[in-house]
Amino acid sequence: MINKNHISTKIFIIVMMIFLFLPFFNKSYGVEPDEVLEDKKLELRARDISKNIRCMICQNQSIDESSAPLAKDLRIIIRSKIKEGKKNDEIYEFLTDRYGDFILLKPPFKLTTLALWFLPFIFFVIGVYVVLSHNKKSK
Amino acid sequence: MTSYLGNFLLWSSLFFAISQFFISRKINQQNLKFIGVSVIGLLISSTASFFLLMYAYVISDFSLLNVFQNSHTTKPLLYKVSGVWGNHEGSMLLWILVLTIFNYFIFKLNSKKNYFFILKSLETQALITIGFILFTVLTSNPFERMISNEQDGLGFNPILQDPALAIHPPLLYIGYVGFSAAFSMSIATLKLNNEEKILWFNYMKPFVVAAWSFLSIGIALGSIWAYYELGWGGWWFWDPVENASFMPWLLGTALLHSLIIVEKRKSLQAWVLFLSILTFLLSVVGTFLVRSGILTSVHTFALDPSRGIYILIFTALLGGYSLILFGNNSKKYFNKNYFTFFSKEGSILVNNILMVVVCSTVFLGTVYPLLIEALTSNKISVGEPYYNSTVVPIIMPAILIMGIGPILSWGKEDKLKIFKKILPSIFLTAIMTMIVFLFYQSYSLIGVAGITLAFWIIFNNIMILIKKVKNHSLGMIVAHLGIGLLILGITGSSVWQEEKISRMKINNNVQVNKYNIVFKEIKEIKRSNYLALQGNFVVHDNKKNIVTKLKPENRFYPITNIFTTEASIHTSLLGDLYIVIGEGNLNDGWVVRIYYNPLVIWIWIGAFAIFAGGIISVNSNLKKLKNLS
Repeated sequence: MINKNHISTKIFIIVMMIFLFLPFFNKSYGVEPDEVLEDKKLELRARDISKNIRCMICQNQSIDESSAPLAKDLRIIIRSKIKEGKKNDEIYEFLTDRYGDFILLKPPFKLTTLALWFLPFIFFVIGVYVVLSHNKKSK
Repeated sequence: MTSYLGNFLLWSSLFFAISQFFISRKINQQNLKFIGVSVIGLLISSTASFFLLMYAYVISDFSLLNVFQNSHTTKPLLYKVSGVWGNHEGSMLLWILVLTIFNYFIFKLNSKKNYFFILKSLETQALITIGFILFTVLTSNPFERMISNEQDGLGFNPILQDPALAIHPPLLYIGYVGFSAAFSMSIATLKLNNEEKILWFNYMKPFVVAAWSFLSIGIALGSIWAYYELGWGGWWFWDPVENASFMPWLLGTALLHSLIIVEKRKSLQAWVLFLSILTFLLSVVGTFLVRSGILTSVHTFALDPSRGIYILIFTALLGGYSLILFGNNSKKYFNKNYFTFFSKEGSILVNNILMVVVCSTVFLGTVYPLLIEALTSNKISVGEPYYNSTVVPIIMPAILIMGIGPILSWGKEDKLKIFKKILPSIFLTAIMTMIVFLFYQSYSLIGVAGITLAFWIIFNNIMILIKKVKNHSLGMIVAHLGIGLLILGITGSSVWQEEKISRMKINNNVQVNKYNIVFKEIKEIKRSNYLALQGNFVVHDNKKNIVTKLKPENRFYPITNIFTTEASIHTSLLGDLYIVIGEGNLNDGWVVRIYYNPLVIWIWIGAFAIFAGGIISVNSNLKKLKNLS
């Protein structure tokens, strides 16, 4: 007689062995220790850039937060560019040349994004105008 | 069987809603009796359909497609129950249920004096209910039958299996749908004849405050879920779906404050009518954005265009109808009223405007990528950095004014007097801010601003309590204190977060903030619906005393074939120690992420205070309403 429990325990152990010795994907974390640059200042720059770069295959995550392989590749590319002495602007340009503006979480100033960047300011000015026009003193 | 019964209940809900609509169109007092039958029939049918689906989930009745697709026999009972609204079809039943409950509350307010107003409100409420029941029946029927005979279901996304997320949708929906009552009353008010006089704003206010409070706590629970479940210590991502709930919240905030002005001064009536229409429309637009699947976002679980088109047309009709009605009938509610800047109504007006400006900005950021994609072939992203640089500077002056508003008197106030009133809080705020910065030894402009504003709010409200200012509202003070604590938490956790990412082997240790953390062991555990690797970390303080043991997990859910991380968190009033364990093996060690998130607990305490303040205020507003009739 084979005990049913016994089998499930065996399966469990096998699955766990696979777990323990094969690195596996996980959805929700980013930077890994072997990517980190030794120079703290450079690493901080890399982190700042990565926070502004969208993980293209994820949903609303920056590459700093994502564990997708593509995100990891981009993090490594950014760090090697920094080590080469490239400036932030050059790195952004390198990325947008390949992936388009979609990769930037902070949209760039452009003709198509004029409204995006200026409308909040205009909303604010209209707001101030409304307040002033209701002020007794101004009458 | 379940399917037939469920469909029958849906159709009977529709029948009662339609009968409510037709009865409510004849305005006379006798009709209240008839409409009572419809209102209660509607409530009973929608409640029954909701609990029928819940029952089907609990007993794992796989004769329903919906249960088969979203549940599994091994799922814990709590998540079987919450599974009802964890999917699109079921959540529509919840939406309808909440709608009919509010419908009933509106009906219960009826009396000899106000029946014409209540009937008119119930008419619009019936229309909205019909719209959503039809939507459910036509595009998202949770009672659709399963064709084949299945022994077990497909399971439920484990990342959604969390206590906070289990109760997050119902609270959020009470918020969204609560604004429907304000909408219906606004339409009713616009339709009033010149002879029909009623203090409509007193009826609207408890509904608005209740909706706003539940929306606040609903949003907070969503954030709590993100913080505990997503595993990188964040709790707000400016995700389009988050924005969809934040926008009605902003307008709701403006609405409930301007209702105070209408109540006290009878001015701004047209503005309030407009705002209550807009707030509910935004709630429906939010549903459209989420349900249509046009957003690429972590929350989207519906990808069926027919739904999106239905909601879009429904919103357009609702919006078109209400805004045209507003254009034609709002004239009598316009009155030229001027305020002095340094008065209670002045400060409320300024905050109203700023809330609307913030809401417009968030709306712009949310829909702009969709517009660009539709008009040009380009795709752009609008992420966190955009909102940080636009929303934050606009919201700061609003918070500054929020601290002083409640202290000001109605009408006019002498500037010197104001200065004397706020002198103690300025003094205390300066001292506390300095203490905080001496403690953290880190200075940034945004940090100084955040901490100063937080204490500014806190001390001003404490001063009101101490001085026993006449006519202060306890609910307001509690909610405002909550905002102060919230800002304290937000600033602390975003400015002073510490992070350590390292590869750790057994018995390695790292130092984060004041904690020394030793990686003791890693073991396998088995639960009914998942397998996990669990790390065991012993946390010591400076004096080498053991503070706590943290056990982050890496889970595997075999049914849905999904891996999740389970952060383990040590919470204290000063900050959270947050550990996540990642990929690794026995030889090379595991990737361990440790965060120290200062003051996070105050975000949740603040949010609960906001909710509590709201509920206190609902109560006092209902009392006021009772005295009226």
